[in-house]
Amino acid sequence: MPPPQNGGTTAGTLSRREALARMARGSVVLAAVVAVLVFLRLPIPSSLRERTLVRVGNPDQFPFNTFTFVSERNIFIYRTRGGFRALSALCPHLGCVVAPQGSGFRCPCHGSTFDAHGAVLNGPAPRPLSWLRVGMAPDGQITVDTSERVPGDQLLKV
Amino acid sequence: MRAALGSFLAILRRVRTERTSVRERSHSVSRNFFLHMHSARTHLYSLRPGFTLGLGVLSLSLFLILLLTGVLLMVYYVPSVEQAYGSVKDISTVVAGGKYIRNIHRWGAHGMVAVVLFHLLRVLFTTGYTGSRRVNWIVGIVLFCMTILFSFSGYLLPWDQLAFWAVTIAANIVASTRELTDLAGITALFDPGGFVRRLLLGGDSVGQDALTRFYLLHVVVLPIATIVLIGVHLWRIRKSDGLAIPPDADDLVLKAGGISIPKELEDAKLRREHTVLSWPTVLWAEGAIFLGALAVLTLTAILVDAPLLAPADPSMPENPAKSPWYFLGVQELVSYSAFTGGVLVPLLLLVAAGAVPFVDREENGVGYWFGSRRGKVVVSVSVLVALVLTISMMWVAIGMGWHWTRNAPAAIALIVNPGSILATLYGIWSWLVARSTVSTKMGVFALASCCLTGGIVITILGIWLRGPNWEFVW
Repeated sequence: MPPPQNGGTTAGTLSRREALARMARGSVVLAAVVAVLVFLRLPIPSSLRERTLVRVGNPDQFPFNTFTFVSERNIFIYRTRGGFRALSALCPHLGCVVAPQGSGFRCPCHGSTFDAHGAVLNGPAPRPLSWLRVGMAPDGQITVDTSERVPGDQLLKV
Repeated sequence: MRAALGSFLAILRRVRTERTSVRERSHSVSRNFFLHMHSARTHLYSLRPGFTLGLGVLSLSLFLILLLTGVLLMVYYVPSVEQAYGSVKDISTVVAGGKYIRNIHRWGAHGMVAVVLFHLLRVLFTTGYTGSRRVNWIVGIVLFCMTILFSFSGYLLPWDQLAFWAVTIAANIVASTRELTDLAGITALFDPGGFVRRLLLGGDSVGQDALTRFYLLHVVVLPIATIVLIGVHLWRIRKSDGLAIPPDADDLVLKAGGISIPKELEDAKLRREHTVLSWPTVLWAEGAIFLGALAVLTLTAILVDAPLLAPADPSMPENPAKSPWYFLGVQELVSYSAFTGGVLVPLLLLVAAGAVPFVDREENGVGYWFGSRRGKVVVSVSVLVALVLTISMMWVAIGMGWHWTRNAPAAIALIVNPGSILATLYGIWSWLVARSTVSTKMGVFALASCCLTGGIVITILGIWLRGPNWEFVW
């Protein structure tokens, strides 16, 4: 067999020098890829600073049949004889905080309007306002889970 | 050490025309690190003020001014939710000269967005993007995006109402790709907008993590990236032998005269080549632009204070909550549909801009405003057409209300909105122009004129004709 020329390959064979060189190049590329992936992974938050399950107050402090705004959490609490419901005040369009208007709500940013059930009446909002899961903390306070959407007729009976 | 000092002094050295030789002046350019981005000689045509309007140098000047004032602001600014607002207030009220530095920084940032946009349009309408300049056109587009990102990331830092709500809205525009993936029912699997929003904000709402990230982008990531890209941008100009000038630039310089050169600066032989020594002629021009920019900014900073609203209140938006002016056109479009107006149409515009040198491969018209007489006609007519189309479209959308979407299939309601309708109409018009003139360049010019005109119309609409609750006010 003739010796391989230029340290390269002849048909189907690979010189030891070339094989080692390829392995070296390969490992550098692999290491670089892994390093870049680690570098890119770091800024993706593994846990979030915001709590999603929050206390909003004692049951007694909410008047009946009206939307009470909890400004720290951007949530409306609606209390009926049957129990409690919570409506997110964040406009599903671009996240502004809606304000009560008539029996419904209106977004100050792009003018979406909603009825008292959160359904879109007008404007660019792509979805209704979100009803959120209501619960009760061990200390008797009403809690809202802002990460969990529920149907609008779901109540927390108290 | 002596050599380093010598080359440093080369910047400061007076122009001693009677004593320095041409050769020495050529050397002073190539010897100095900061000057060697210039060629030894520069063609007179590319120095005509009416050709370039000095916009590239003006952009660079503003960038340098922003870099310097930005570093000064960093001395006192604290990037924390609790202290950011107070520290900006301190800069504006207590810090010696702080108010003016902040004013220069704020107005310079607004100015830079406009100047970089004008620079881009200048290069477009003088066909400065052909052949070897195609790469640099793309670099320029990226630099334009950098400018926008710079300005926008800086917007959050004062942590006032303006900052908080503008950034909340923008971050949610990014996440509005969900409107599309929700329709397909794949948001749980594929949510690019939501991913980018979380990456930007470090969470799901604008808080300390968002402030930290915007600060890092604003003072570290973007400056480094921009400085490197500006270097590439200038280097590419050198590689393409200076600015794009017409093949018959020599005759034009002879005919029009252009700029006047002191006779003693040039010997007769070199004058015939229609070039001047970059040092000192070009440097004088550049210095004048820089000082002009500085003067205008300083005056503005003395006369007009940068706004600082009430501290950010995450439970009460400004009403109306308006973005900076360069985003108000987009904000008008998102008031019909977040995804189409805020993501789809801007992305289309960006792709179209990037594709310009690959669509128009005609070599004629390089270095002339609008290429030719025909180009001027095409641009004028396109501006009129776009004015009529845009104003009619917005008149229909606002006058009759945009209510039909409630009863339409969701996909159609999502995609069909004033932004996408106008983009389609502009596209059809430009295609007709390209067809009837048998020239892709004319098509490109028509599309650019339409987008520019439409952009100005809806931006004006957003700035002056939208009031509380984004209602139309006249």
